Amino acid sequence: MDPTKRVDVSRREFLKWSALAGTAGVIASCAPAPAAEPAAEEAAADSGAAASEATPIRFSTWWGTFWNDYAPIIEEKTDTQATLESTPWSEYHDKLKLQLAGGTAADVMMIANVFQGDFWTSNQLHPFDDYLPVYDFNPDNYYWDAVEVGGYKGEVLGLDQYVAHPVVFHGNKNLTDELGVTDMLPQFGQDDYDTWQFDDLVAFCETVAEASAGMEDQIWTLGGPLIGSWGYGSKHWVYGNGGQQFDTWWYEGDETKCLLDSEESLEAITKVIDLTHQGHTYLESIAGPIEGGTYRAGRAVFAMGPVGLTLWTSDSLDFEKVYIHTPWFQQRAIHTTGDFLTVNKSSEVLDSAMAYAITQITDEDVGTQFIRTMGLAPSYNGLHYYEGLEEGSEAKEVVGIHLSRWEGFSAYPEQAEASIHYPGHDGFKVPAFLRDTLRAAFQAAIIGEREAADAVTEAVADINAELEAKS
Amino acid sequence: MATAATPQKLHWWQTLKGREALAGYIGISPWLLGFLMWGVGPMMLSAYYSLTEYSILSDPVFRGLDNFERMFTRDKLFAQALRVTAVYAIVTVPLGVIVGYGLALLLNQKARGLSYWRTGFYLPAVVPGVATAYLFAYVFANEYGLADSVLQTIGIEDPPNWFGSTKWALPSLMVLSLWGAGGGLILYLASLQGVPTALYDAAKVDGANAWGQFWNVTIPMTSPVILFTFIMGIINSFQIFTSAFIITQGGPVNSTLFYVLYLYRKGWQQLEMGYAAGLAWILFIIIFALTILVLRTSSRFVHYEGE
Repeated sequence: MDPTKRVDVSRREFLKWSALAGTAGVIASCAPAPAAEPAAEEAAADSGAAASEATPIRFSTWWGTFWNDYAPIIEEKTDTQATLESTPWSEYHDKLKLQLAGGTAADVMMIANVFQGDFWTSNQLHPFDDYLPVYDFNPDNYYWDAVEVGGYKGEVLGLDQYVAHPVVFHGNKNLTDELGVTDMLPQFGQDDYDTWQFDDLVAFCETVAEASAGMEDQIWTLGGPLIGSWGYGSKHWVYGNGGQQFDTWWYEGDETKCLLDSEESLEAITKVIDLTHQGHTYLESIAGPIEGGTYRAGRAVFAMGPVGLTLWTSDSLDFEKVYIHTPWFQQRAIHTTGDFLTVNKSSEVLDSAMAYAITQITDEDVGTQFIRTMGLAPSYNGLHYYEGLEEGSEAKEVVGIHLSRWEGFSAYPEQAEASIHYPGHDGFKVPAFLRDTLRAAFQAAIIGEREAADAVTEAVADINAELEAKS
Repeated sequence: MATAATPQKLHWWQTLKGREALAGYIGISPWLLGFLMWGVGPMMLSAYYSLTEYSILSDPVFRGLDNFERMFTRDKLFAQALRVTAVYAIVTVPLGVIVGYGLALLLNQKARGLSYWRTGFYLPAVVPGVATAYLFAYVFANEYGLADSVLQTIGIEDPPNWFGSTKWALPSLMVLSLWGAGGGLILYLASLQGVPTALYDAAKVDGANAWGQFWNVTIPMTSPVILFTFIMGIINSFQIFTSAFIITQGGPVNSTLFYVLYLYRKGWQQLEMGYAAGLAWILFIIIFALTILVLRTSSRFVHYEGE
């Protein structure tokens, strides 16, 4: 063939061959992968002989790499090899719902206490009941009745990983020293620890306002509103003033009415929002994007948040920290659950997944590492691990605060006895609707568009209508 | 004796036309299959789900028109989401077209460094929506943000709390939408450069000044592109989601609760996928109706060459 000769291809020919080539490509891409060469297969089997004994497991959480500190211990004790699937908190639970719906969720899944109601009714979680006796799980060593905190319709669907941690006030000691108000604070270790009631907080806010009046930068007492959304921070105020969320105290789908429009609830909500209006609070966090920024920037004395070593540790801040317990109205209140480990009902390695989850809860070595890393007392034998912490360490102080409202754990037994416990989640019928509706009501009150009592009463009416529709 | 061959009847795929059609269909089959599987299939399924109570984690239960009845009679946030989205669309669609077209007119001039200007104005259009949302969260941050700092510098003591106020949150997101106005720039520029110079010469001969040339030549000749970007703008504005999801989560007090954000909240956060599917179909009908309306009325404003 003469290479210089031009080859003419008609449009029809071109179309035909293009179509054939395209179809061949599609068919090729749909074809199963060719079998590996026997030699390569053997080599892979030889080199991975040890690894192949471990059962591969997927574990999803929003905790990030903290888990890596104790993961090897669990893997070794359960003959598993776990892959961490970490998703940021803000997207985690929505993503998990999508994964469960699509059948791609991990074998072991962490679920936050607040979202218990969203997942427990999904029929996607495998009960632990038959597995717990196999692992010599002693209910007496668990901090609370496992069915009561992690159950639904009599079955344990989640194991709470740690004793519920309270909401505390994280303080900026450099700032309180500068303002000369550190001595006013009821700090852990002092006799007056956890004795501040709401009026004491109001008085402190006024003192800070006076002390900071001459300063170049405006200083706020609170780096965000005390009620922004309906989480356990907000519940603390309501339950602490004698209110409650639903018409049953412990609910598992039998709630019929929201009671947040009661006199006690509305009084607590109104007082807290009024404090915001008095100019002691920086309101940035309504908009969301830079929450905690004012506190981090050293222009707010307190940020309210759960206690734990991973949250705003001294190492990550430019100032020394001081902690006080959340002030209260009539009684100290604390929610009852931490974050749960759950097992996917569709897991193909169910036994290994159960072993992995239960070992993570009950194992001595895991618990020891867990409390040091997280600053949270494990739910199983929590006091034992707390006692093992080094005296004077930040971990000891943080976990001491963490446990101080828990009877049998607290260094302040009388105060723990005077504490009440409430569920950490938002019911099983309309949890997300309840949160969305209350958040809008709180926002309306916080920015002064509506009276708090009116906004919340209307929200409760909407929630009750939704509850009725679901009944 | 030779006999005349009887013409054999050909099947349709053996004819020239049939063979070409077959080759064509084979060629587009990957797209066609994808469209059927990932476009038509989910649409039909969502039409069915809109008539059900469906949590995505359990089987759907047929409920007839209950979801739609609830939308139009009991759901306060449905009306709120529609209102917020409509206001956003009414303001941002014309504004986006005007700003984009204005930029294109400027960049259609003969000036030094034109290619750099064009790149600079187009660049925001390729920045991911999430990054833009975070950027503007800081621009409009209360007190510390760029906007408030500028306002304080020029003597405004008490600038707005942009995303923290029901009055300013939606306008702030409207301003954010202009960040991507350069997206239509390429189309406008191509269209402006396609206007025959002979038309301008003729207009000049007829005594038209610059405004006359713009109004009677430039606008009519580029009107098909303006119509296209207008329709795309309507579709995009009714599907606005990212900025509100990242910055305001629909707040404060649902003042930025866009329709698709509400749909997402219902479907994925409240696990009411049947209801969310119903919302999606209402959105489809609204966008479809608006598009038809604009197309039907466009003959009065749009000039097609050769007509």
